[in-house]
Amino acid sequence: MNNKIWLSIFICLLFQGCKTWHTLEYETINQPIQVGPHAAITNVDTLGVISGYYLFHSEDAVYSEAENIGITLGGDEYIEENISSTIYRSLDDNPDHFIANGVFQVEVEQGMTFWGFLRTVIASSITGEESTGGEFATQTIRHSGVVYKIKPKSSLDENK
Amino acid sequence: MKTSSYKAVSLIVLLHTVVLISGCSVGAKIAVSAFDVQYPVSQTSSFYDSQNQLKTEADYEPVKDFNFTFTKWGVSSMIEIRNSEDISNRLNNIIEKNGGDAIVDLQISVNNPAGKNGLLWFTKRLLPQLLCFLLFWQ
Repeated sequence: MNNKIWLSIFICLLFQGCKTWHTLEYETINQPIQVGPHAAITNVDTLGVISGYYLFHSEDAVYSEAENIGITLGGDEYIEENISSTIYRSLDDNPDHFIANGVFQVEVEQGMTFWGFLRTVIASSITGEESTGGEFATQTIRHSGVVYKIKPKSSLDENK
Repeated sequence: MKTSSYKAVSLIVLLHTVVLISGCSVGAKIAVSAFDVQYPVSQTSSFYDSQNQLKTEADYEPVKDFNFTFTKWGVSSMIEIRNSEDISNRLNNIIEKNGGDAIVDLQISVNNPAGKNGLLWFTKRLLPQLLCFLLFWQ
């Protein structure tokens, strides 16, 4: 193979990343959770701001292997969210409420903590060989929006 | 000469100490909003129209599925750079292009392209060595 092909393979490998997507989705039937502003600005009560988050964290296990010994340290993966206890609960408790003006803050982080690094040093010192892993990756989606309530028809009639 | 070498070594030790204590990470913090969208856009299967009428699945028919992606760069999630994305125009264009009235079941997804990325690995392996080389070379 010529140099150009090797170079292409090398570039592809450099940009080849983990493509795990994490999605924030809602399953409510009759209560809108709108991204933009509410279409009608009249006849609605603004009740306050609500927020929730979804977080996925993963940490690779540290692994090191020699001829007669192999060692694995750490490794963790979890999802943390408070969407159920905030947004879903608020809507469940108040069937006439809905959310609009949604804003999302997306946060991603990837790297190695000091403790992750320490584990690689420990694993290496036990086996005497190089160790792999110990890196963490975190994806967070924070969602905040404004809670609205359509004014009941009786109060509209009173206003008239 | 001796003093400059001492300074270089001290700098390397200090650099590595800081990296060891704080860890090493890359990331980004991005705000996604749609403040100027002209039509109802809902993450659920229902929405309110401009007459405050609730529209559920029984009241409309789907026109077309869509998706779009965009990439934002960041240095670290610890350093907040104003790097927001307003998707209003994209959503408005999608509705107008397809002759729709609203968007329902909108999902927001995120992935971290830096995760398990060869470029990051390469940078992490190469950069400290390069830094050390430059410091010693000077």
